[in-house]
Amino acid sequence: MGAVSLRKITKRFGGVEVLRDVDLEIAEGSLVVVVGPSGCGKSTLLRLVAGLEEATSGVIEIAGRDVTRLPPAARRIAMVFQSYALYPHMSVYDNMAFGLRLARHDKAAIRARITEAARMLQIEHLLERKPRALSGGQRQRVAMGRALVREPAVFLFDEPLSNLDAALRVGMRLEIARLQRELGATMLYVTHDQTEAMTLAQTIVVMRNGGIEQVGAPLELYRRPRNLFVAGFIGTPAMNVLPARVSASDSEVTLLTIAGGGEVRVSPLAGVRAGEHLSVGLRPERIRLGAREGAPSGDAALAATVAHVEHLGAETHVYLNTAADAEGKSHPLTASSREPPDVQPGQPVTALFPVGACHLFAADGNALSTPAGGDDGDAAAAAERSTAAPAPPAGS
Amino acid sequence: MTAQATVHRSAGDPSGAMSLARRRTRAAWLFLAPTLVALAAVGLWPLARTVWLSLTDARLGQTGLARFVGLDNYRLLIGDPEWWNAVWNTLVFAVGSVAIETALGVVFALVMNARFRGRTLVRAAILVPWAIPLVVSGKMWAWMYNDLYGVVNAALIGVGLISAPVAWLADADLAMVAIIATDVWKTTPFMALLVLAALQMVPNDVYEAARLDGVSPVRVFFRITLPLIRPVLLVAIIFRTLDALRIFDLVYIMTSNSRQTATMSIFARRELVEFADVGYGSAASVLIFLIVGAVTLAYLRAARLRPEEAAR
Repeated sequence: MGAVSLRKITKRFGGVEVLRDVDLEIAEGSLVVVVGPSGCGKSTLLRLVAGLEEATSGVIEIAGRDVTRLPPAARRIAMVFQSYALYPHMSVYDNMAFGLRLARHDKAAIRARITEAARMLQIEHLLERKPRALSGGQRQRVAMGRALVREPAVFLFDEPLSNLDAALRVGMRLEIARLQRELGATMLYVTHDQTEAMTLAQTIVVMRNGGIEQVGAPLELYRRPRNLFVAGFIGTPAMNVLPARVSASDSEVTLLTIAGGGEVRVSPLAGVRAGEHLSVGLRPERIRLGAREGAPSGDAALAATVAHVEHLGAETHVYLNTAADAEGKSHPLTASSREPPDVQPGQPVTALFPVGACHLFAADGNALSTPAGGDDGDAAAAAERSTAAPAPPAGS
Repeated sequence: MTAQATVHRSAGDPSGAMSLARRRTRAAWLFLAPTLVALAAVGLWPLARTVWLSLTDARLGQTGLARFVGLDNYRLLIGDPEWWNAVWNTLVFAVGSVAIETALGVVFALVMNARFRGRTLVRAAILVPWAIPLVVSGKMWAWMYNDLYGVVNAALIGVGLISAPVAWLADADLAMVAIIATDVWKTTPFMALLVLAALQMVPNDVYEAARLDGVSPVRVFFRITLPLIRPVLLVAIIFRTLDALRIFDLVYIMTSNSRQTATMSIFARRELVEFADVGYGSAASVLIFLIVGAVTLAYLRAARLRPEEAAR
């Protein structure tokens, strides 16, 4: 039995369908992050669980109880808002105590709970202050304290860190993860920031257009994205996507022509026919810049020009444009590496990558194959399974 | 370009002209000067002259012949039952009208703040009484209160609340009630608008947090909405109270100089204009000024509202 379970949830505002047939199980004690671009319905999903919106159809269960038609206060949830939503006219203590007093907890119990929560969040010294006398990070802690004292079955977070500056955001992220571990709490966390999702989540739910695209552990989504959308959304810099055409396919081997590059041999793909268009996905860290000579035989090569170089210190991002393909189109490509490559903007380079590192997506965007052993798997092992044919000159 | 060059030279030249701070101060005074002059001309001078005249026996049209009489006018005024009657009437009017307008204004604002079909229409409609010139609405209501032809009597008789027509504006007890009712009709929209502006400043997520806390709608109003709009409400009340203490036009239009409804301003005007006693009338005016000031200070202190806050 999950702490939260959503079954066939649909939500319409007027004629607009914001969520469509969403099913989601959240295991007790897990931290689930819902991520997606703005307008994908992730906040609506959270507000439905909170009871701030009512589902058009479907069932919501929290801790084994059908709460679909219950008011928010009866759902055993607590929510942390993006804007914190503290009562501006009440002290920090009263902000935390307000809900408990209304729920008729006795005074001593309220004080005990608040003292404990304040200790955990290190806000004991702020209890008598008004919210306007607090910094953004402190308000964030108070908002979390107000959620803690409710001792809910599930915590709901609605982009709680997006109003904080970058440094504070990292700190609070760790704090939330620590609290979650210490309390063994169930948390449902909504964000548009995939880095936040990757670093915080035990399970990530990727949403788009009112539906769930994929659910899985962070690395699983990174290594085996189910489709182009998830592939592009998870990971920074984003996965490179190059158009490709199937030049031949049989039960032994499939040959692909990558735009602007040569023909590569990949493991046979069932159900693809010669002439079909595919997309090749390639993580930036799998691309090396170098000379064709001396590269492993399993590597494919693309001629490209350096457009821009970003030095981040720990790693370097090189933005490339591939040489014009058969249709005269050039494609952007990002390579990232630990060692800063010695390249300048405008310089022609060769982008090398193991063919085994390619994700292949059908024309409808669904994944056909993912690199064996995952994106960070053994490149040599992957290369063994599929070898590249010598690259003919581009445009031939 | 020339100006820029000049600025640079003088700023970089310590031995030369004034420091930057001093020049800024001087510029500030220069910008303020027209306003200060205007304020002195229309505010300070008339006030000072009124205070001076209140210490004389000046007559209308012959203020040049005025003799200084010290505090005689004030001594007379304090012993004048007509004056104290006017003070009492004014206080009744101010307390009655402002209290009802505030309560109704909050209710109207809450209604206008809710989401419903035709909200824009309601918001516009509610403003109509405020938009009508006071003389027009005063005359209109006086006619509605008319004992023979008035619609108020017709309506009340129609629903059986009274059996015979009532002379609303002639009746000693009812005249003030009728005037307060008219003022409430006219001024509630103003109050409602101010409160509505305050309501719209309350962030929606605070209400959502209250829903999560399981706060009942009545509690939400008294524990969250009211405290949050309190500063605006207090300012609105003081504005209205100041207006109400100076009330003249509505009373004059509806009941003229009737003793039952005469306010402080009515009293002062009658002394000044009808009895041509500029000295005595000025003394009354000065006392009105002092009473209004005292009420304001007392109110600000009671509401623990700092003057800066009120000025916002």
